[in-house]
Amino acid sequence: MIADLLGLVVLGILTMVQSVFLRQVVLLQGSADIVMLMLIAWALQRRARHTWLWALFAASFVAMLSEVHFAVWFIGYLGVTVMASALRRTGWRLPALGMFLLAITGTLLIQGLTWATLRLVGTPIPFLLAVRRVMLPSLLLNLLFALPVYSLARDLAAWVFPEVVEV
Amino acid sequence: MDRQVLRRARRAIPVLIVGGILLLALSGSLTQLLQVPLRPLVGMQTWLAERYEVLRRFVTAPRDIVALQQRNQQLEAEVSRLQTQIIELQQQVSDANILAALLDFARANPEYQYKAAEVIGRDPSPFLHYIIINRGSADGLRRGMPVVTEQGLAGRIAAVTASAARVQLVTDPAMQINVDVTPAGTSGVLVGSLTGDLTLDNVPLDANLQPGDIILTSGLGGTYPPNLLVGQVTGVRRLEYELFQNASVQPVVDFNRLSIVLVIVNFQPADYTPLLPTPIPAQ
Repeated sequence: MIADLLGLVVLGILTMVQSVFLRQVVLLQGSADIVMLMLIAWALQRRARHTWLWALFAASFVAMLSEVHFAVWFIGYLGVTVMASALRRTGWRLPALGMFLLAITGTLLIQGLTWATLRLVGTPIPFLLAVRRVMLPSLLLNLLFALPVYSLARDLAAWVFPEVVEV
Repeated sequence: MDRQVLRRARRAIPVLIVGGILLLALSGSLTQLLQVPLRPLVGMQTWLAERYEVLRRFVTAPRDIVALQQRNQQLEAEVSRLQTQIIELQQQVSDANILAALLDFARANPEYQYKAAEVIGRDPSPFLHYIIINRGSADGLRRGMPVVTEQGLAGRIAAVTASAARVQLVTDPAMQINVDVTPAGTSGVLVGSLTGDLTLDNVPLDANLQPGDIILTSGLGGTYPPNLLVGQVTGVRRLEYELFQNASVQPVVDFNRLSIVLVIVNFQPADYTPLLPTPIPAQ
């Protein structure tokens, strides 16, 4: 319950940070998606529960701010959360590497969905231009932010779910 | 007689000696001589004075350090407060300059009513060029209203909530604006792009487009009011075998530094819904 409420607060703050600051820190036209990174990092935490709820919170917040169809955010964020949870359940031993892999997959998934949706609603953006100017720069920025966000999520998890030491 | 002379001579000797010494002193001949006994005395006194000064500092210093540290803290706090004040004042000056420029724009275009709004965010998706402003339907804003800055057209309102609105910028890839080109005396369609560059399209081949030409909204289509400055032509691409020529356009608004905008609240875009053909039901 506390973790769910914490998710509401953390994702609300991160959405604001994303909209106010990070959208101005651009590489070509790409920008980092720390909301997605936080969802992945949280879902990779061993003790995290209800990660899908965090994904729903994040998608709701971002969809409120964005002109992109809300389905993109719901599918994208739920998708990366499910993938991260699945990776955790497989007993993946290198969470940092998992974080990088999922950051790459998540970025391509969400940006690809956005590109396809815009094409469907009548804003055709050349694919190669989208890859060169948005997807690859965003991917690079997400990889840069991946480890700091993972550290933040790990500290949050340690704070919310303290280790029980048996004496 | 001899005794008297001898007595006088004895009295005169000290006087002569003193007088001689005085004369030697006045002439400066004694200085070198006096330095010999004075040098160790001066050295000794210097040593003593230095030891005393060290001792005095040792005794008084702790009290001074505490007082100085307190004073230093006070001054540092004062400096921090003044620096904060300077930043606030600089921000206020910057805001005042922007508002003054916006006021000039409003005075130059008195036919419109404006509502000032602050830019509070951007669309989280890097594919789109949208900003979020802190005014909404509660302030009288409606979908489709044009948004301007002191420099010219910035975009139009795409979505509204009670207290905020989302503005589609003219550089958005989905943006299309009917414009006039001055002094070329022709019209065209200004199209945004992913990279934020503007392209003037659908310009007839016989139009004499030149770099430096001014782009103004034409008002055609009723989406924007006419004669709002949008940009300036920077390069023309004309190919003889194509139907139209096009041009690259530099927008007048610096979209990276948007902080305050004006919404034209007394302009309602034309509603074409009744004119759209409706499908005839199959019989």
